[in-house]
Amino acid sequence: MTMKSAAVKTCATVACLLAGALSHAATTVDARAWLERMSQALVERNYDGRFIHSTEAQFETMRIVHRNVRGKITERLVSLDGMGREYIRTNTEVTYYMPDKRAVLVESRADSEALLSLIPEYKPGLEAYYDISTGPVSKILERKAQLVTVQPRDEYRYGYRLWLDAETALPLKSQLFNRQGKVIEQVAFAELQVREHVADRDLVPSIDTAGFEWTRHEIRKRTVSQDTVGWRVTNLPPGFKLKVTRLQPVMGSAVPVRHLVYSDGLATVSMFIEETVTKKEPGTGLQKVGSAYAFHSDVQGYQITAVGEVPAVTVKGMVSSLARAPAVVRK
Amino acid sequence: MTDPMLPNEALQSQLSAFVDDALPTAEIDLFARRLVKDMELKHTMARYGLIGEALRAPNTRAHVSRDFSARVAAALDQQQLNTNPVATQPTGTLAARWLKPAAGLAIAASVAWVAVLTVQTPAVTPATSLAVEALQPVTVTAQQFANTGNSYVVPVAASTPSAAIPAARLTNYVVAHSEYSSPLGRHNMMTGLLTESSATEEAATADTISEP
Repeated sequence: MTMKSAAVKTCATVACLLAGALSHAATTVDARAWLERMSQALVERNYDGRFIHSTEAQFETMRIVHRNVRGKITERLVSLDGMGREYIRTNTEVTYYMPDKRAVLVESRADSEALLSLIPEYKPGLEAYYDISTGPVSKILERKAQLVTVQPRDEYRYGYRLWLDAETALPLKSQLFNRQGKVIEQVAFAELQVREHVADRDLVPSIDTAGFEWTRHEIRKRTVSQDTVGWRVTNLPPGFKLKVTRLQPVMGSAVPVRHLVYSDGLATVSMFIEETVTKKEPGTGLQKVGSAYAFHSDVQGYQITAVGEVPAVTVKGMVSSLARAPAVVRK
Repeated sequence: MTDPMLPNEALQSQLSAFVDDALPTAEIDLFARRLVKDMELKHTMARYGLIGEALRAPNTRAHVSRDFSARVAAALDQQQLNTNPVATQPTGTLAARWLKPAAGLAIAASVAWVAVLTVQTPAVTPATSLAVEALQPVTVTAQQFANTGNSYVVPVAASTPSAAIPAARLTNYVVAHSEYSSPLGRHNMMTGLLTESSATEEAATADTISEP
């Protein structure tokens, strides 16, 4: 091989690598745009659909009705099987109906700036923790669907496969999977109507609540509770940052608990810190709610609980490294 | 018929035969075994049931759907029993269980592709985009709370007795947490809460699980 031909070959290789890198960068940017469109569509569109929620253990049919009238959002999610539970969410209130327990839980928000209308921004930094890419266009429900894959780069978060409606960006089908690619949960629409208007009657609970016990919580914003101030997770999984700290009233608790919210830009973990009033033996416990994990531990007179749609190792690690700072003097 | 969500042609034929009540008895056991393991197949089955039953009884679909799911779940339970050598039952028993709902599903097989996504001209009103505003972080000593960068080691948990979060409290936490999830994450969380009766029902005794 002559020097000239070697140089040409090297240039060609570099060009190929560069083209590949540029192509990957382009698909990543495209994929992030799709994710933002999806989040926007889930909040801003009016839709009514029935979907199948499947896990390894079970599947269940659900109905979702979502309405946005000039930023005023109402959403109703109903389990069509099993216990027949449902919840209705508005900008200022979340009402959770549990006919199996003959109970209703209501959480009111003091602030009318609903977090419901929050649309996350998927920033480029996200790619340090996830490989985000677009895949082929296929057909679901006879609609063109764009595949977007969010692959976690480590074991501290889950990935998503999303088949987004090419026109509306609503997810026609989504899969949550772990680092090994194993599907943990799947949501797939059997019927989805994107509407101009959603009638009030579609947002009314179907449950007769006569004789039910109602529990109502008021959220107080930025109230200082010295007992739980200053707690932080000292050893966070890469990319997770503290986003919010607030107080959360809890059923059966006289004092609100400290609620810290950590996020890597896609996954979110909540830490709940409550001073233990009654004497009890310390313990730990890991529980699963759908695809989310909750890990609980009693530490030095406090009950610490982490909840998040992340693998068990993440919630366990975060609880284990929670620590309290020395007293802080604010000026 | 073809189902875009079920790429395997042989499986499609098997499913089609099953819902049309035409699957040979010898294949039903195999099919049921596959159904236990294959989430996509479960989904397709559920979709058949949902659509078919909605067509048969449009005003009572919730109740009918519940029945359908219960029937399939019972069949799956039966299959799981069958995979246990101690509880093995003759294929005929299983076949009988499967064939009962199959007749009712025949209509679903022919109309499964009628699942519709209708798009009217939507009036998209932008919702207020809010940034999650963190409260002023509490000042902490840098040494104590320094982020350790990209390395993360899960601390070894002290050996403590197992304890579960009371069901009501767990529900409370999940609802509170869902407020801060992304729209997709929130839907998943709340769907999990509505469907996962075990985690919130018998939490105090039954739902403490070991780390995978």
